[in-house]
Amino acid sequence: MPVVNPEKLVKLQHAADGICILAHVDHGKTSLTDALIATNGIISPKLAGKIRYLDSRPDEQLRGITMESSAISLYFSLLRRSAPQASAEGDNGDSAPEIVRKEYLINLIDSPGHIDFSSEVSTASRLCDGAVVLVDAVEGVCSQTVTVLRQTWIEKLKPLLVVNKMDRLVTELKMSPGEAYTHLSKLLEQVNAIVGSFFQGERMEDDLKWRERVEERITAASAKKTDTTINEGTNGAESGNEEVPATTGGYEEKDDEDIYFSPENNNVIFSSAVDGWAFTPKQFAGLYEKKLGIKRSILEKVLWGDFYLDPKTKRVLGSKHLKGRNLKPMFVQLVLDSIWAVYEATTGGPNGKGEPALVEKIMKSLNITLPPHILRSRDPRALLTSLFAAWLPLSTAVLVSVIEHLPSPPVAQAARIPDMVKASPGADHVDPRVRDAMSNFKTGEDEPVVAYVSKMVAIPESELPHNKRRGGTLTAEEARELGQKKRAEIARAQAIANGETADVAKVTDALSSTAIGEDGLGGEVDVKEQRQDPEHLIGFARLFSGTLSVGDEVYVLPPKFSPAHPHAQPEPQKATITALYLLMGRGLEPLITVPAGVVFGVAGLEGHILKSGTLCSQLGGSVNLAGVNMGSQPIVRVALEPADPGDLNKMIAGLKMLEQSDPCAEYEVLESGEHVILTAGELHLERCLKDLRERFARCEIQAGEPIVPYRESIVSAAEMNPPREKDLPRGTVIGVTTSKQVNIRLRVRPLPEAVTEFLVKNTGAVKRLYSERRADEEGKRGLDVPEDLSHDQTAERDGVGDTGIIETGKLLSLADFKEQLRLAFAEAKGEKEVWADVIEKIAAFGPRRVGPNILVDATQGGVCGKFLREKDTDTDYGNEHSSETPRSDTLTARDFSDKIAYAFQLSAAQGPLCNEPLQGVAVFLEEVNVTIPPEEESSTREKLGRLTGEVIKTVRDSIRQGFLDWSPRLLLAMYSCEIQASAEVLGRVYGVITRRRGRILSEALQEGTPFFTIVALLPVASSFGFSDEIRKRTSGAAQPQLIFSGYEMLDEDPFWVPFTEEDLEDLGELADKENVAKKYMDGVRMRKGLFVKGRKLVENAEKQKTLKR
Amino acid sequence: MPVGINQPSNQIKLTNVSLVRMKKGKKRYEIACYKNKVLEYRSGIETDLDNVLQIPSVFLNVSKGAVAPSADLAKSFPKMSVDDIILEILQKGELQVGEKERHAQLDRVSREVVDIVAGKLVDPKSKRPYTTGMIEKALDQLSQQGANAQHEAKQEAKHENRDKDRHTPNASGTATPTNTESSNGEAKKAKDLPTWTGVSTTRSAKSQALDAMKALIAHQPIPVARARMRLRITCPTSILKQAAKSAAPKSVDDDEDDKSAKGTIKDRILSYVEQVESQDMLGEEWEVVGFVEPGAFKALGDFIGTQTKGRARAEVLDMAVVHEGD
Repeated sequence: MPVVNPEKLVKLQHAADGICILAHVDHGKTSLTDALIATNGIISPKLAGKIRYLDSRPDEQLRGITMESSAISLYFSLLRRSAPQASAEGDNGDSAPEIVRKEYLINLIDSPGHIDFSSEVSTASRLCDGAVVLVDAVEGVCSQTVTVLRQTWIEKLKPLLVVNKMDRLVTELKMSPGEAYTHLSKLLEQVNAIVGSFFQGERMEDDLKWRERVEERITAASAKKTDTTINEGTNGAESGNEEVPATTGGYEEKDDEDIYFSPENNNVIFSSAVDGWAFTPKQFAGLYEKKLGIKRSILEKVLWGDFYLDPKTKRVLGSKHLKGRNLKPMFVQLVLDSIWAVYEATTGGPNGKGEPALVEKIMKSLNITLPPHILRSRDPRALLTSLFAAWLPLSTAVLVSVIEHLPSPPVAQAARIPDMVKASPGADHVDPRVRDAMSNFKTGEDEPVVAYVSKMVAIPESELPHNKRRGGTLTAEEARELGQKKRAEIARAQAIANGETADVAKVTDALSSTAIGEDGLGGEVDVKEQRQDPEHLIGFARLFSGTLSVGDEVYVLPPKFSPAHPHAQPEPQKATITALYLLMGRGLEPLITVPAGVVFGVAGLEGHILKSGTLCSQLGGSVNLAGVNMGSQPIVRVALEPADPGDLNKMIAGLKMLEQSDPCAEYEVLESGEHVILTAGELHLERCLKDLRERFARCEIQAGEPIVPYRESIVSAAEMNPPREKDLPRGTVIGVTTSKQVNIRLRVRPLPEAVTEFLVKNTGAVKRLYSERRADEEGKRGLDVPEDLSHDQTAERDGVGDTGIIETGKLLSLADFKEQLRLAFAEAKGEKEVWADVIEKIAAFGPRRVGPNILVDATQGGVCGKFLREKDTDTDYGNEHSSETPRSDTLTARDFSDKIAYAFQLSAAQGPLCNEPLQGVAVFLEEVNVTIPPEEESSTREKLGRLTGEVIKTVRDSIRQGFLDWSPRLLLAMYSCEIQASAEVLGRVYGVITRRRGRILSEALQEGTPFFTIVALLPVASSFGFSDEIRKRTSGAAQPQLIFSGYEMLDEDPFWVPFTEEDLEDLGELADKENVAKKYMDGVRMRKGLFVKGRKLVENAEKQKTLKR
Repeated sequence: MPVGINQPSNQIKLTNVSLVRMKKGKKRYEIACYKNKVLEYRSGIETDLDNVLQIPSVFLNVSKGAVAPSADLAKSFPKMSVDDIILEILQKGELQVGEKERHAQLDRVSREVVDIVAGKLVDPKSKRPYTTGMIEKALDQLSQQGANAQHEAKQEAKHENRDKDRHTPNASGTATPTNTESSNGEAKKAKDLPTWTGVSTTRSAKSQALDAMKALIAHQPIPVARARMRLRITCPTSILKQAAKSAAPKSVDDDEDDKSAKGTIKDRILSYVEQVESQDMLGEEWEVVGFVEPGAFKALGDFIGTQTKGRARAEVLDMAVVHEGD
């Protein structure tokens, strides 16, 4: 095949057709792509299927799986008869006078099959007009096959089924053609069942909607008594039947005929990418037309299915007319038998070397001539592949089907766009002009430009076309490099063609192929060599309407953009297109303009687009295409750290870059200062780390488990140790400072559950109330400020504070907050009198003044300020407080109020169990006594500083003691985990969840699908590796999604040891049963370097060993 | 051959014995314990005495097997049973800390130090804290550097000594070469910087953490700064304008007419505050809320205590201000 020069491709941009290749991992997507690339002469046909041209990353080649979707533009010319019946022979067709040569450009996107990269699949499918779905003939339908089929269904892509790896049926499973036929038909049934289930699901949904609509209409009709026909917007082909007659109530069934795969519809291809052949029944129909004397159109219909050829009459029979004769189905007889024969002739035979006689016979009957050196070749595969290449070339079958069966961009867009626009956020506000331009595929210069950028690809500067060496002679060094590269290439080709004895033909093939494919492969080497180039981000985009040229200014709409509020913050910015590229795998070809329907690379969006986005020529009424397709959420969380601490900034910069260039990686900085990266799976993580190390950050990076947060709390358990001090109620502690000058009596109590929950939920409100109070206090203290003005000020402040939080949740005003808090307290069972008037006495929340713990001022005089006081009740309190103290020279309890509050904050931030924050604890300050001996009275002011430390320490210790007087509990951070799984793997999912101490909350069958939705709670501490394990155990059929859901109490006292006789009898002295809470607690204490009780260095002492020689 | 001859083959080496010794009444007593167990016993983790003691008897010399005569014991420990004596020695005797014990102790202290440091240092740019891992790595780097520097310093010192030796014959000491002097000065400068050489078990974790922080801030292996404290300082306006003095405080009346010092109290207070969040005049109170470097807090407290006679107050709002997540 001739090498197609880029200029030609550029010219053909107008007739481009975008397809993506989707399948389960290892079903041969990239090999198939290779075969198609070979037709353009980019790689040698001999190496097609082995070189995996689009796997341009070194690790992709090493692992043999695709990790990033990549695109290539392919040229394809088809000789068409002008008659309506198109020739299927493609280039091979004889040159009859009415034949018209038509040229096509196909933008091919090869997508990864591994589950970790499913986000790449979903973005790739949005860029395309049609999809080619591959299924392994042996493995059949796998988990990802279902996913990609669903993807095509959701995206309304027209799929084409390729049954790949047919050769395995012959060579591995040694099936007879008859067996293979039944196997294939079963396979097709499987695939069709899946498609059917999607259809069913949608049908049921439609049915439900329809019923609702009917009901709506009935009510409307009865109300108005007018015969209004409700005009549902008819939307293209999909919902053509939505206009239901107003009077009759029959649900119109949609025809599901055309969605299924069937060979007679020509949307199924049988292929073997590795051996380089493929066919559609249509092709064979053409071949047998003359031989059998049956009309081609009839033959196309009967070639697949239960049809038999009567050997005598040469007539086609149905299964009824067999009359007990044992005939093979036509597909077996005419198609499979001959393919099997080729395999038998070339690789079969007594010693696997083939039978030359048979080969000759086949060649004669097929009218093929092969060069003699191939016929003499000792490698049977060389003969096999060249024979097939001459007879049933893969590219022809696939590309012809693609062109004939898959819609061209205008058709596809007309079908897809209305739904896509409808699904996009704020669809009602989309400008009809934009919608029209997109649906009708208007490519005019003045039409609105709409393009979808699916991802940003980082490309080293040296690889951009304008920096690439163009022609010129090689310097000696470069030549040497090229030589090395070639040698490596040869070695690899040999390694791939494993087991086969290296023959000369292969090596020469490899050589020639590298020479041809140098352009692309050179890029790969460039990556290695020029690590130091800066990376440039290039958008991977598709134009839906209009024409985009270099230098155009377009609005870049972020994924959260909604046309309903085009000017909402952050307002979309304008970006200038600095360059446009034709994507050729790793290589890029510069373009000047692109028409609609093309998949292209676009530069100049750096800093505008984070991951995906929409480009639009107008701001108002534009459509946001990037907002909806979040296929899978990243779930694997890992904390990253540079090996050398000085590299931190490099790493952060690299992480930001990575986040941009990877559609499914997220980066965040935690409160603890950890840099956490979220990836879709372990494999994806590995790729991200490799990228970081070698491209983005260029420093060594270590990954580890992120730190898991805990909370500490107390409960009033049924059996507790007796209170420490017998005469005081539980939790009461009297603290005396070391100088014995201040006595503090306080009581720690667990807060009622409802209150804790309320406080956790309304942290924002507390925070705001706090700032409000401070603002208020300031206003009050400045006596010259009039009352109402200060109110205004606070109101203003609220307004400013609110704007940011309005979406996140309700913020309660002080009165509301108090009222709801009162309700929460009222809910608490028992001890009503304790909590009755607590609200008015709350002095502080903690930790950080906003947490779910309260300090209650239960002293007689009210030592501390009241947090939730009404504004008008004690307005001058703060004033009084601050102005009074300096005047008097004696120390009162009030002087220590801020110290006590501060000590409360400290102890709430670091609990006694493992220095984690408290939750749900109330501290009642009951009494503060200051007794200072009179002789020291004079110097009390100086003493205040010393007493401050003492008071803080005493209060802190007292709170700790009070806390431990109750039954302490550890609260675990929990993920709410949503898993979709089919019934078969349900048991395994449960197994994994329970082993990781998870708890199932609910399980429900999804309507219309065979999937269960399981909602479970999973401790964050045991979530590391969870998604990986669940995928492994269910072979990828279950997909968990983890969302942080808050803290849950682990109902086990970490200090519990068996002490009752019964327990001792059951569990023994050492409590054989592991105390989970203690395990968690000790883990944290170990990490923080705190003293771990009961951890022995040496479990049992070793006796003296007397070494004897 | 006489029986008691000491040959390598008939020696019995104590392989798993650690001794606890105690001097009492001019006699040295020993007990034989298992290795790595005594500290655990002392800290109360190990409660089983059989897991600590090799044999429940008191020795004069364990390796020779010389059991202490009961007469001696009665003399040194009057009115105590052997068991009580053993407990006494176990609790109060001196011992060599086992390898594992030392290791565990060091490990714990270093973790604690790192934890404290991580809680008090932030990235000055983003005001975000560092993880313990980062701090640990940075400290490792420092201690390596410190070791190298020490090594170099020692060598230099040797070199100098040699130089001096060479110069001693002259005895006048007039012609000391200038280059050694300068290098000496440099070395001194380097020595002035706080160094970090790893944790020890003898000092408290907190004081070591303070040293570590100083060293980190001085060397900046990663950009760090102390997390600032947030303070609210209130002061009556009447004394704000008064001039501050470095001298000991006099009476209030004297303050008013003395204007020779460099700044007013207000200026001095503000000079401690790195970043002022809000500053207000509220009636006769002046209030400022701002961030103060923790090292300056003590000086500020002293200043306020001495100069305003306790009429100004500094209230700690936050010990360490770090960037909080939303």
